[in-house]
Amino acid sequence: MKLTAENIQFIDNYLKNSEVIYYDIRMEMLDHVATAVEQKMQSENLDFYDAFKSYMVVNKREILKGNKLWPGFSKDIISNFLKFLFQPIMILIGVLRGVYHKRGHYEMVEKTGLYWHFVDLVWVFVFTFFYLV
Amino acid sequence: MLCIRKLCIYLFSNFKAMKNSQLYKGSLNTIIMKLLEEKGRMYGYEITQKVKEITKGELNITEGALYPALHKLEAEGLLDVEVEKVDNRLRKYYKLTEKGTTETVNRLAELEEFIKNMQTIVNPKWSY
Repeated sequence: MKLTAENIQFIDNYLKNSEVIYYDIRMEMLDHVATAVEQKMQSENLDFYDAFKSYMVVNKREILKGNKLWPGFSKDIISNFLKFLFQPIMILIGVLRGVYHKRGHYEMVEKTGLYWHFVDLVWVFVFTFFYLV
Repeated sequence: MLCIRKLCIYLFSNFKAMKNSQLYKGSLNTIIMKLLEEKGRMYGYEITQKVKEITKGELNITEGALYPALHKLEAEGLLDVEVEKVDNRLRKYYKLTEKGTTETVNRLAELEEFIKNMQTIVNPKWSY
């Protein structure tokens, strides 16, 4: 059973609304979904909308996986960030800053800045573990 | 409390998904290239179905893994793309380039070596 031009347009709009903005990516996804839906219509004897719905319920997440505009935090990103923080040069800078701090050379602005960035850093973790998970 | 529950669900669902794919992950590119070598040219959906058919449903390549892999191989110059109009829509066919064909031979040899090594590790023949 072949899909009509309207069916194809329907899937295309659906993908567009799911923020698949790049034409070439959408074109490929569209063909994938259309072929799968055709297959489902044939094997389970469904009409287009039922087949499309039941296909999307199962596969939507997987299909749109590579399409996230903002990838979020992955284990890789966090571990790379930690590696970056604990490079020898960064530790050296940290120690130098500590020494500087002990001598009491900080201005009020700098202290405010430090506090501000500390809160920022805390939010990085709060956001990761409480919002993204 | 809610967050701990969510975390568990998240970890568990990932664990379940990983069970099947983790070991195959490294050889996905080789699988794709081998299939293309045999079939000449294929499109994405066809590849997933073919793999499912060959392995009798044991190995299920997901869309989220397949297309990024295909695009990466294309960017590396190992695959070439042909777009064709099929039933009201465009279909993207992939085939191996010359470079891809030679690379396939290398990767298959590498994979065979790997399988051999795994077998000797998992199933060692003690010589004493």
